[in-house]
Amino acid sequence: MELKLNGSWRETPELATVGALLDHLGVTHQAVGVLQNGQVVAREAFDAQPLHGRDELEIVRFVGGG
Amino acid sequence: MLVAVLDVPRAPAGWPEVASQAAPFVDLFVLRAKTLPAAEQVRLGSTLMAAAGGRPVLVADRLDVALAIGAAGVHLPAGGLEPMTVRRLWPSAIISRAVHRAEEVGQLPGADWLVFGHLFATRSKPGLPARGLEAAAEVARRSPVPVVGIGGVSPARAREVHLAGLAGVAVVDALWLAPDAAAAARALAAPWLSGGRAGATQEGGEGPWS
Repeated sequence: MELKLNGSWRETPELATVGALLDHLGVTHQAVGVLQNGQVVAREAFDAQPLHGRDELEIVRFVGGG
Repeated sequence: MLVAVLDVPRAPAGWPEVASQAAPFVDLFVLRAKTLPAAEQVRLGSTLMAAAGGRPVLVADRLDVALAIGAAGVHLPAGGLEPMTVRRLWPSAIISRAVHRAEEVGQLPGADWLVFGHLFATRSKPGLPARGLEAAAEVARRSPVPVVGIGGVSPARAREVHLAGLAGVAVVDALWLAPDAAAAARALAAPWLSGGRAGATQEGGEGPWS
């Protein structure tokens, strides 16, 4: 499926939910904020939030320092 | 991570264009316009959202303004609403909170990340001594959530902030007053890019998104 991830269009496997996308990207659910088409997705809702082709996602990673 | 703080009325007149230029390298924008009335903050916030190219925008202190413009969350100052209060009212919000002492870090449930400062001498806090990198490193060690440093951070100093164990920098003048905002933003974010910042793909396909 085609998704816009942080400003760039990407081809990914078919993924059902925002949580599945984060898993695909190897990103820890607890350490991110996600906007889907401009709307914030609650962390608790990642695994239930449906993902659709051509969705635009902004994923902010709250990662530790070096 | 790079946080771009738009401080109004201090920001230069052409700030929306600067925001657009820097956006590919910015993780989050924060509108800080605490001296302005709500209606004016809403107008500025909406302009910032349009200029931010889809990047999340937080509003400093004003939960009402953040909700009114459809922002991604709030940045809470010391003495502002408790992070958990905001979390209860707005479960999906991205919430950051200012901290000034290491003792505070374990007492702020509900915050996604913390902002510690000021690190270096800065125009934002004239006459106040900088808290320094050593104190910042202590805060980062003790914090259960990532800590971003603010205050007088230049591109040249961003690497020191990274080495101190912080998760990123929040900047005001270093971005809005830079002769080339995109170059400044790229340089400020650079120390963290090797870890695979989300926006790194825009610099040529590095990171976990490619």
